[in-house]
Amino acid sequence: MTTEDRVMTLLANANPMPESWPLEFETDALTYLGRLEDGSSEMTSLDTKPATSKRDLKGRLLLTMAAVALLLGIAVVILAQADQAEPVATNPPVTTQVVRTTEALSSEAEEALAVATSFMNAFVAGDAEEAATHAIDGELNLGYSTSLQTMPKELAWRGAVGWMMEISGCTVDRPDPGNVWVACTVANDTAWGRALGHAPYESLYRMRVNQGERATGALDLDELMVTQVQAEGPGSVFGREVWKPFFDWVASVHPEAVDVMFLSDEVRPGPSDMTLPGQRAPSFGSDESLELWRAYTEEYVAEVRG
Amino acid sequence: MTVGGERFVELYESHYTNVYRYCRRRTTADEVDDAVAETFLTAWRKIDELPEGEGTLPWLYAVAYRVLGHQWRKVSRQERLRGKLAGLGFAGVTPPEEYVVVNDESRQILEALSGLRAKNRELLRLQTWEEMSSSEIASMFGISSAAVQKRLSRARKALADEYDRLDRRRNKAPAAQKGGAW
Repeated sequence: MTTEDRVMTLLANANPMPESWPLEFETDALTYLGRLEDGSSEMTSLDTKPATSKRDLKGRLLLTMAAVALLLGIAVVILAQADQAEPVATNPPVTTQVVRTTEALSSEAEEALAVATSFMNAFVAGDAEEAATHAIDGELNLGYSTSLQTMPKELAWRGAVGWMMEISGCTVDRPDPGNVWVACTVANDTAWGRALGHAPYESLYRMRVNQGERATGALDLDELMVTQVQAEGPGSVFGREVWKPFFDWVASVHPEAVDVMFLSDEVRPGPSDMTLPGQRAPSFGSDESLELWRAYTEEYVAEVRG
Repeated sequence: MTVGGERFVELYESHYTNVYRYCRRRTTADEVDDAVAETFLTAWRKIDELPEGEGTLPWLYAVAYRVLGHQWRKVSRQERLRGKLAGLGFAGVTPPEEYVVVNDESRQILEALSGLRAKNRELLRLQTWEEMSSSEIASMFGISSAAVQKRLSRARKALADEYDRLDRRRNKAPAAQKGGAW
């Protein structure tokens, strides 16, 4: 096995332009500045072609249109063939992490898909720090957390209550100028649901990925980041079959814990279709609540399983 | 000469060589002049916003990174279209590093490097080829030094893994030929 030090040495040796190589040119800053101030350096290579006449322009326009039409036709044929060759697959099992794409993507869309998938992979793995490297704090609705700052708490809570997530698939969703939207379907398998014999429930995360949101001084780095997340929770069926029964059990067996474990704010994060009586949502901000969630989940699971 | 002009001349004379080397390490000889010129054109347009002192060069590198990114995306689109039209499928774009190869060992490490994610590739190159510190890289990407160190650590491991994977693939071919002796 090659050590990391070794590969770094190899990489340093593979430098295509080491500092020791002399560069044989002279920089004439004043001449260059003069060109810039004249506005003659819009492009590096000077255009020496004669000016285009209107007639030429019209001819070129027609040619361009014909070429575009031809390319579109070819693209349609290629896509049609691709569709025939690769029929749309049924949903993959929830135990695999698959990136699904059904059409040819632009390089930007491919990159956005990779960024969003990396973000989701880190999120479902509970690695808040890694997830944060692919996102900026925009309008992030990650389930019950609303920002990168609160995400670690949500992930710790999910760990405490045995809430496992698995990506079923990610795909480029709705492209719009300047943004790419990526949608990931996630299977949610909870300790409460497993105890009750329910299969995982699907939820959907839509992520907006765009460029230049992370600014360094005056410069926007041309880097794709997740800047918005819209989560659609596992839905009312999960709320009815799993979430509410657990809440009712806590309210019945440990009524004193309800206010510690559940927020009662009227304005609350989280999917609305999982709303509990009194607009309650899980409270995982304190060590005390986290411990109660852990302990009572174990107790509930043991009781349900008999 | 205007204040902006003076600043630009100073910038150009101080950093032209560094920016040229940066671009040449990442693109072909044909493309490098355009990339360098585009970088300094951007610097000229934003001369009033340029960070002072040690922040200047990372800023220029960040601009060059973006300029090269546009070049790569353009090449990528062209390559893909060519591949489709030729009915050959898309086999990926040859990364710029592949154009300059010193020996087999270098080829293998550059191939391994090209298998990493773009940002990880860039972090490793900045550290080894531009010899930038974590804090300089951090200022370039607008993230913390700790985040850079963590990413670099992961990138180094990924590079070593990829290098070993290529090693195994290369060593597998002769082994398979000998398989009949069993």
